[in-house]
Amino acid sequence: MTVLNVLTQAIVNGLLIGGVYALVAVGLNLMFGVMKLVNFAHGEFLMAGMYVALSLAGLALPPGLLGIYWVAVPTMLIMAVIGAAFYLLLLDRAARFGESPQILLTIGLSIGVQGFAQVLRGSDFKSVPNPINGAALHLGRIYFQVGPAISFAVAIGVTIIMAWALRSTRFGKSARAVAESVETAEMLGIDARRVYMVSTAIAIGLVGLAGALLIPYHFTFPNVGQNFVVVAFLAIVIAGLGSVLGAVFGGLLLGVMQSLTAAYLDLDLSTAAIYVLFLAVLLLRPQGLFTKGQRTL
Amino acid sequence: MHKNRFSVLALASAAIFAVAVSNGGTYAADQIDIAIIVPLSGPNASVGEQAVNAAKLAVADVNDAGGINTLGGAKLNLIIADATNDPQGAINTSERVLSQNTLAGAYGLALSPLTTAALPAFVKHHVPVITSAISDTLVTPTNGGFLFQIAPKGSAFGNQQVEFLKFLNMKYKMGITKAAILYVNNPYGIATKKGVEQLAEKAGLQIVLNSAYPAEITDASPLVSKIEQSGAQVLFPVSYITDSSLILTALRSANSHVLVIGGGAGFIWPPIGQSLGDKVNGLTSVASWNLDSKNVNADPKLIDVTKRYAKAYGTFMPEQAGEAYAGVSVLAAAIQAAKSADPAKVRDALAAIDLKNGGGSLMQPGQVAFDANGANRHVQPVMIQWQGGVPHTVFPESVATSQVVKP
Repeated sequence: MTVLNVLTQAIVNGLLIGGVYALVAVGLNLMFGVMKLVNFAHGEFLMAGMYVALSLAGLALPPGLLGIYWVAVPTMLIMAVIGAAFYLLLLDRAARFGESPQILLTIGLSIGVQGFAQVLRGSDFKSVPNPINGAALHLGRIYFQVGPAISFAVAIGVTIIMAWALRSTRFGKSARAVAESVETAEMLGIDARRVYMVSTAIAIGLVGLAGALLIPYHFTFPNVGQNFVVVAFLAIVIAGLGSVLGAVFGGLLLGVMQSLTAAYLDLDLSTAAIYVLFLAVLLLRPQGLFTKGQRTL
Repeated sequence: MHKNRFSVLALASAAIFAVAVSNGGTYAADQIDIAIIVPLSGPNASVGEQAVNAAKLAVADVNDAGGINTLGGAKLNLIIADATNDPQGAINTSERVLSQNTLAGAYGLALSPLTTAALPAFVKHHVPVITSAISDTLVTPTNGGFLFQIAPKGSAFGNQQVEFLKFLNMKYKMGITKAAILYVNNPYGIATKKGVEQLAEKAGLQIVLNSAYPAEITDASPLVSKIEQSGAQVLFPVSYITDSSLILTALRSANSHVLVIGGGAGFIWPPIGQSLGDKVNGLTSVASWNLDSKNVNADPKLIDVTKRYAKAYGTFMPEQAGEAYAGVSVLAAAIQAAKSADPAKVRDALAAIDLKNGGGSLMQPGQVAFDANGANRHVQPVMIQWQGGVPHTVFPESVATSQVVKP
């Protein structure tokens, strides 16, 4: 491989896995931006989305390279409903006692959901054989894995839709108002609880979508969410807490950073490198790379 | 009145204490407690689940056959405990189980870091433990004498992988001289890769890539790029199940023609076959045990064990399950030989055991005896090749039952 090929392939690999991180991180940062809530159960919602998608794929698996992707939208919708219920039944009630109980609730939920998944579906590694697993597009000596490439494309699409929705829709304007000041927003007649519920539904729906896009090429097991959500947490801190669009760039940046470190320094340092970047950002620009010192949606 | 009540209470307490001490001291019972302590939560829960399934089967087989004959047909009672996924959790669980029960012996821990951490608890309570953990450092003169390793040592795995490559090179004139070693950065990965490294060099292979990678990776493309850049013709990966799947998938995406000789674990578990479907066929890996080795095929009772496991749990009997079935059977045989459930006597019986039949003979080559450090003297890893969606034993020829198909 030529020097240019190595560099290009490393960047491609990084962007593709970064797309997955981005899709997980978007919902996480939406919830933080609107509700000031760090959802420690986000990884478990990713896992739940993967199990839902697997179950749907078990019902029907149309032939063709992209057949398995029929599960993506239904999974997103099912998870969005679960997200709304999560807000109404748990987060909203916990909110009456302040922010700390909400955070503790998500930590407890994370442990509980993992245990529940293990009891319900076993600890085994589940998958569904499909043609996406191992499929690739080749451009000269550069290859693009189809599964991660689809996740990347969807992450970009979601970013564009979210950017538009936050700027141009009634909900987006309400969400931004609530993010700035709940009290002022409520004085203006905005139903903050409704905004919170819809934000949670969108966040959990998107992480469900990420799960559905992962199942063609990744095992599903009770603690699979942890592998992705830790990087997603780093991505949102690096991007800036609350910056939905920044979360996407944060995810992509970390993916590329991991890949370049593996290519040019050491495979074993690829995870350590993103923590170094994380610490550097905390020291030099604690508000994050993509914010101006305030939470922005 | 109060004095009388106090006297009755004191007498009752003394009686209960005497009974408790008496039971604990003589180990005479119609039920003998043994424990299986393995990870049942966290990322390695699947390993533990397979082991527990097989241990239950082994205990049921011993009890259905009349129990421990030398103890009047006493039945085995299996206590199941979660070693969790971290060493401190393994210590806490082991200490709790050992303190709260009168065990004749135990099986478990499964992973080298957990076994290393929890071993002092077993030594302290003088309870023998049979483990499937493979690290060479477990079976040394300093291990306290209560550990018995049913599986081959980690370094033996690497040895077998290199011997297999030499065999392939000779049989198919593959001309492979450049090797890459990729290993997950933990004691299991390091122990196994050391064996490969030493033997590969001795075998005249040029190691063009020798690198650790972090556990729980989400993408193996960078690993595959490294392999491609190195010019390696053969890859010796030492990986868990998710990494194995990601590596194999990324190799296929990159149209790589590198030969993969897996380092066990993820390359031989049922989920890898389910995930890759037909594409798994041809994949080779080392294994501590396989369900169709000659010693298994030669004994209808052992074949029956593998069939019953498959029927009960819906997959072929995997590596960890085979080890657990053999381990619990060996423990039962030691209790039988000791004619006592006293763990110190069971330990001595394990140290002296030389089994050529029964459930313990599931391990290759069908004979189990431990050396002074607790290592299984006779056991040898085998090479498997996925054929028809199931791992078949293809090397060494002494235990192989299938011909290797050119990978």
